[in-house]
Amino acid sequence: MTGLILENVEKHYGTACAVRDVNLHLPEGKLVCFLGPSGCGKTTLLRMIAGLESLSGGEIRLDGEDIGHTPAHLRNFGMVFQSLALFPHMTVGENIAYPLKLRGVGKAEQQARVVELLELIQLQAMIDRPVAKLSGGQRQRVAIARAIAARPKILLLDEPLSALDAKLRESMQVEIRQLQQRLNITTILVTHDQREAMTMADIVVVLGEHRVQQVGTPIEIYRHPANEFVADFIGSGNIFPATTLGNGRVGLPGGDTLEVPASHSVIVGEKIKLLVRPEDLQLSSPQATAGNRLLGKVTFVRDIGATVETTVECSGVSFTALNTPCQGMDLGIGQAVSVTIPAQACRLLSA
Amino acid sequence: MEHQALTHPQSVAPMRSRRSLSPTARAWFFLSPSMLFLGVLIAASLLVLRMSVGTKGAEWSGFSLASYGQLLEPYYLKSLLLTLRLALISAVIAVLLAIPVAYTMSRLASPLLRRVFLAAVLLPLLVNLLLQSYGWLVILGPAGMLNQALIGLGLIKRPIMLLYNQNGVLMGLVQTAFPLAVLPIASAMRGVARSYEEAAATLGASRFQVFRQVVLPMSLPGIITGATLVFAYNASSFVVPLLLGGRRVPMLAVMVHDQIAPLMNWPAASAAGVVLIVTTLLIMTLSEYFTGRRRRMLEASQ
Repeated sequence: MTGLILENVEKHYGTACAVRDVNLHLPEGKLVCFLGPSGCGKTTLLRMIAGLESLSGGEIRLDGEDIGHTPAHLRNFGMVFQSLALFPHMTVGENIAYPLKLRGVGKAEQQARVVELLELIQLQAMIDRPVAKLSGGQRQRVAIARAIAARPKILLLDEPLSALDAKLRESMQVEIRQLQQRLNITTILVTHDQREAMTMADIVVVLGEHRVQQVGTPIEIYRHPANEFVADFIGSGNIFPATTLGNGRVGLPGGDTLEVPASHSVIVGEKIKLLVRPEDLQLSSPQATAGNRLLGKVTFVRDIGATVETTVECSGVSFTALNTPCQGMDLGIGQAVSVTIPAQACRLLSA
Repeated sequence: MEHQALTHPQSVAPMRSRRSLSPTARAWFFLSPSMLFLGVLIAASLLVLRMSVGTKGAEWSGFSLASYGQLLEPYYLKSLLLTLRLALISAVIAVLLAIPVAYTMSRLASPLLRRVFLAAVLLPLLVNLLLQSYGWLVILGPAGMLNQALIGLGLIKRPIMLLYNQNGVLMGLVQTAFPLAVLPIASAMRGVARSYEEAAATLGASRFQVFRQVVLPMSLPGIITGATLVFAYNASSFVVPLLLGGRRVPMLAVMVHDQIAPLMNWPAASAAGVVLIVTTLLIMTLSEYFTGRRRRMLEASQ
């Protein structure tokens, strides 16, 4: 099987467990994102793939070959560190040529590759500059050029954009993604920023509590989270307890019932969690409760210009609805309002 | 505020008086004890400079360059060259020995272990130089433990001369100045973040290549500082060449002492001292000139 395969990969530090039983298949040419909160083991997992941490258990295979115990310098993976780690005693050109020099590539060929890469990252004029003279975004690009200079089999990115300001980060996300698609290089990106993951990834691996919570495309992860952890971590969501009533209905704590998509695995009377994304909720002027339309009271309004978030309490739970200002209803705290929760917007999660 | 101060200076005056001391004045105030100390030292150096151009018996009134002329005699010239040579070689050896020690020290994870290591490295600075030199005599002297053991084992008939020659002095110089080499190198290497080594490894560098091509060049300023410290310290070394060289290794400081103690020739002693200081300063300046660019480049990126 081609691509990178992780099988039962584990990492322990003494009795503490950093990564538990990870099984993944990373197909060739895709950008895979390890997404999770800090301390979830995503960086440890990446470092194990890079060969910077030893495996406590399991196997890592690349194109069928076990590389789990190959030292880092023989794996031929390119890695971009959070701190970038550009060598300050070398110029931009020397930094990019370093992996080529290590592989005994001839001087002329080194030079040609450096020029080619600098063209790719549009920093041709910077070849003889010391690294310290570059801006944040330029350093970022040089770090990526250095990582891909020796045509590595896999590119590993460890939160490479976290040091940049928000605007530059967004444009670098697009830039890196385009570069990755152009070079068609298998890439693993570690991030705690779900927006970054959604922008860049083909496949998102959500990690939490030291294990894999879900693997899927960004949209799958967002629309069909596998459990409460994923639902809560990805996007903002209204998650609240409910009880299954059968026939595609659930009961809310306040006694109201909702129609939800029929799910065959649900047992009647089971305590579950219900997820509704804020953008799926519809607010309207107060009307009697009917179907999936509930009557509630506004408890908070957050108008941040581009969007308006309205928190409504109804049937014993708090919902947050997300609207654009022109859909707005000019609601004030304490006002009565109707909330429509479309059945197809409800996701049932096992509690 | 500034605009106001420019047009109505009188309105600022009360604020000034409340603060009583400007920051610059306060800085000078806190510096004054050390400045006083330095002042005495500089005055003493100037007195030495004055005496070096005096004549014997008329150190303060006479003027003659004879003492400097005397230093050009082969006897003194040899001593100067010997001093610079031993100081230079000891600096190179001390740094070469210090690099692995400093690297190990900088990569120790346990704070306790690091403190123990540091104490061990610092020991030569804590123990009196005389004691250290006598220690070497007890071990390596003609009647020392090593020679006695070798004779006892029947391996040699007559004691080997391990001391009272240049190699013996060199060994003493390296040993006593070792901490001065280790400390700046270790601190420079600690400044080389782990991620640089890891980055080099992922780019394909073996452990040796990482050390040789990343850690060493990045800690070069510390290495140069260490070498310069050892050089300057050993160029003026007195106890070690006296005890371990037994007057057969006439380093300049020993000569200076001889000029004063038995001969009372202050001008000659001063001239030798001045030459020693000037040569040492010159060499330190050169090393700064050649490594300054690299150091500034490294510092700019931190």
